[in-house]
Amino acid sequence: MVDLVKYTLESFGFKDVNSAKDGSSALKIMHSKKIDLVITDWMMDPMDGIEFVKYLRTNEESPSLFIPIIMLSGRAEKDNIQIARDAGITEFIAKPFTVEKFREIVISVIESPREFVFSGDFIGPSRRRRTATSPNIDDRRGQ
Amino acid sequence: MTDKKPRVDKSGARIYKPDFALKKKVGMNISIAHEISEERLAKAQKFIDTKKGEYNQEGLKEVVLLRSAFREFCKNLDFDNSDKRCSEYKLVLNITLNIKSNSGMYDYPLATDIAKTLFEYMMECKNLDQKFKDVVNVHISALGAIFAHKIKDSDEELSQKVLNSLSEATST
Repeated sequence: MVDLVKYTLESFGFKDVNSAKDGSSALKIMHSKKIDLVITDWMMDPMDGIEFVKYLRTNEESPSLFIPIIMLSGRAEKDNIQIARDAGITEFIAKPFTVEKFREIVISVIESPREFVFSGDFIGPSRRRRTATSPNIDDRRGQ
Repeated sequence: MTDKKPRVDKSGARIYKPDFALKKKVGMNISIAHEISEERLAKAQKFIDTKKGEYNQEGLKEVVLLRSAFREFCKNLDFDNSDKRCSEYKLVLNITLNIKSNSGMYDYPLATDIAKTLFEYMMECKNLDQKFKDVVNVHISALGAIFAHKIKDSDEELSQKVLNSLSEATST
């Protein structure tokens, strides 16, 4: 699956796509270079996807507090998606996914980023529907 | 990422507007939708289609891993080492979920269903007894049969035999 996601991103035109087998390994990469976007699974070991997301959003030593995070997981039940949102993900893609859906989510993360919220019990992208859209762009041109 | 002055809502939460950092990196006047063109989508899809043809081999390897991980987990069932048991159980669940997801991606819907059923069973099961082991092992064998014989869906004769054996194991 990692190879598939990596290949898909590279097919889309993304350069310098790094991969890691779990959250701890990903953090090592993120501490060593600037990363613009994270795509993570849920079920990883020893640091799973939820722990990884929470670390990025709340830990003082997080390499990137505001980074967009897409969770890609087979645990797509409503309760699980809520858990992932509460941990601080930006978007969720259920596995199996289509390349069209993947494209749609990647576009939304870039063109329509969410507001970022700091509240008593939550730090992360707004869990409401997004309202911000990219200025200076006419998306109809791309269709 | 953020602008310097957040707005504060009624609950006291500070809300920062996004600064479109990623968009700026790509180019404000560039349409991502246009850049990730149909051609690029087709390239990615072609990769998936190629993998579909090869996945049964990978599926078999995953089943071998699953069988081995479950065997290891069962060895420690009688020992009071809950951390080790927990870690091994997570591995079994992890592999099962991988099989479920990958089978869905690469067009093995029957394997997806069986892996999903197995995952749910293991998540809910509280009695880690002989019946539990038997049920899990039958599911693992069923997955192995699916990939060994490249069984795609439940209409095939072989798949009916697989489903019948599962049904028998889970009902006793």
